Amino acid sequence: MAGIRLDHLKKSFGAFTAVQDLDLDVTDGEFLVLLGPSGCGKTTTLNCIAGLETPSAGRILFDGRDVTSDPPHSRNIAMVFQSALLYPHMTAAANIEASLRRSDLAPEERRRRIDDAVSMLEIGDLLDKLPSEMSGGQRQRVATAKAIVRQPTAFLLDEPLSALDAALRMTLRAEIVNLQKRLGSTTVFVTHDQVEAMTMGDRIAVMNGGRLEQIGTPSEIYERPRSLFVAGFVGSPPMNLIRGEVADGVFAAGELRVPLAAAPGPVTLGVRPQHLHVRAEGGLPCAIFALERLGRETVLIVEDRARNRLRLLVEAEFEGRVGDPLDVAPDPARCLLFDDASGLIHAPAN
Amino acid sequence: MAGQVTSTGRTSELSNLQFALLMALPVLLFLVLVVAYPLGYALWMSFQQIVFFGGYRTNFVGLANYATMLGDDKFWWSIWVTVRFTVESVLLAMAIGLALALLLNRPMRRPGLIRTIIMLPWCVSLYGTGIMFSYLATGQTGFATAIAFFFGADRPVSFVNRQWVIEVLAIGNAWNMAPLVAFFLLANLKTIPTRLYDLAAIDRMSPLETFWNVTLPPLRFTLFVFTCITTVLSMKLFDFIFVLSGGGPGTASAVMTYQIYKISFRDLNLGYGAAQSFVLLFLIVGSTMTLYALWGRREAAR
Repeated sequence: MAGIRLDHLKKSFGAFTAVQDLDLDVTDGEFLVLLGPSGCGKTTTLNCIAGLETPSAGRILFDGRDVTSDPPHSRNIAMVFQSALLYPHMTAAANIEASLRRSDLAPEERRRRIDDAVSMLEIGDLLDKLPSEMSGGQRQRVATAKAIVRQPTAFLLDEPLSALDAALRMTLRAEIVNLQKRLGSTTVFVTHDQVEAMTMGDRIAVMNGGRLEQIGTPSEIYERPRSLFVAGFVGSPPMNLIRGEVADGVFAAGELRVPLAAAPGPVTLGVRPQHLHVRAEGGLPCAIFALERLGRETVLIVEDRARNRLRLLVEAEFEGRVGDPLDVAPDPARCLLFDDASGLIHAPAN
Repeated sequence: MAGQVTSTGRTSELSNLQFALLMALPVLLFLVLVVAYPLGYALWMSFQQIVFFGGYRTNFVGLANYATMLGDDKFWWSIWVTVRFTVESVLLAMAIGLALALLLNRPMRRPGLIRTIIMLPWCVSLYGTGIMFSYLATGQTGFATAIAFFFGADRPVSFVNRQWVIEVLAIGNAWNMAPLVAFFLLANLKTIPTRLYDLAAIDRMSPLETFWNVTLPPLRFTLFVFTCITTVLSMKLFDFIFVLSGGGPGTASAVMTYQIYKISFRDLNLGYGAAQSFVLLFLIVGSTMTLYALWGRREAAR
């Protein structure tokens, strides 16, 4: 096991820069999630760590050792790909063995590692099957076994769950984290799904446009997003972002007024749906646009007179119909303020 | 479900089988007309001696035509020439087709234009291919002569000779068939996820192992199908050989189709020609069945 360090990593394809000047530290045994929309450079970053792409500039260090120009197999990494990629004409057993075929291990050690992985992932009855005869979840387990027999320095996972159905995704999410904690292996997990990132990662690195937007624990990312992008990308339902202006200690946007002690100027106010409340009167006058009942709670989507939509989390039993008027007001103590250029400029004190 | 008016005036249902037979009737009639009748007539002819001169007549001779074959050196020679031509054609067509497919699968500029150009040989008629390769391979007009003269030789080089004419035929045949093979293989190649090559790199597979484990598996069924198709097409090929070499020089390229043509329409020995046609038919059916038994069954099971 090892720590991975990316030092001013840059990768461009022709005129297109996929990753620019990325500094990243993955500590030994950590589960780091690379999160971002498609085209943000997260998979390119993972490919660089794996050695499948050569960086245009910068260095990659495994435990301080420069591996920037090493080929994939000499880095001792294991990779699990989207839709659990396996060699389609090989049985599960042959696929797992293919990971060790070129290693110098003694046959007994090889056997033992495969047996361990097979019992750990409970795939004993799949060994003679071809990938086409397995379900998505089974393929995922075999691909994971194929990765762990190598006892790699690092696991690199590229959206391994995105091709599976929602129920299976939830099951495997917990299984992967549980396995990673038992093995204590350094893991980099790429996803565009912020729920996966929040639930699985020790830390999350949010990427956008080839740059690192923010890195931190899930609660740091959630509570104190450093930029508008992170604020809008992480959290479900998403944070409400309202453009307005601060003057004389009051944030004003249309009819909305929120007392906030911040420097005057144009800003964007961010407030999570659970911190926006329904008021009898004295708030921002709105009308109900839609109700999404989730069972445990209800997402209320309202529209103000300027047709801006806001989301609120209300109790499951909330009574209301589309078109009903109501007032909403944010909790001033839970509001964030963002500046377009410098990102987060005001956050509630914890 | 179709109804049928019966004598009592009520409609009765046709069974599924009856309905299916009714629907299939036109095509069955057509098949009887264009396949079964000629085939049956040819089978009947192969048991006859057919005489044109002094009044057309047929004499039943039983298996005599078939017995004649056993002692006919030209017949055995034509089988050998056919097998040699077929094996060479199939191997060349598959190898060239695979190479073209791999080339076409690489990133390139104007892929549509290049695909169209590569496809063109398939659009040339076999008659035209025959004329072209005849010019290319014979001494007076051939490119080998051109190269030889360029390097100072003073004698033309011809490949249309006893030693090489089969190879010339096989190359021309493969030139015509390979583009189609390439296009079906290319379609298969496009289905390979590129990430599988990354997996092979992590598993430290050599280029040859990567080809064997990643590139080839999705192509194998197509390779089998086209091996069968090119085998059949090569065995029954006639016009191309007729134009290029006319079965010669001598009998060097007298494949079975050419031999049957010569016996039936030049020697007017229709009975004997029909009997040899049946041997060719069984050779074609037998070789595809053998291919299926040895290879196709395994591919189909995947």
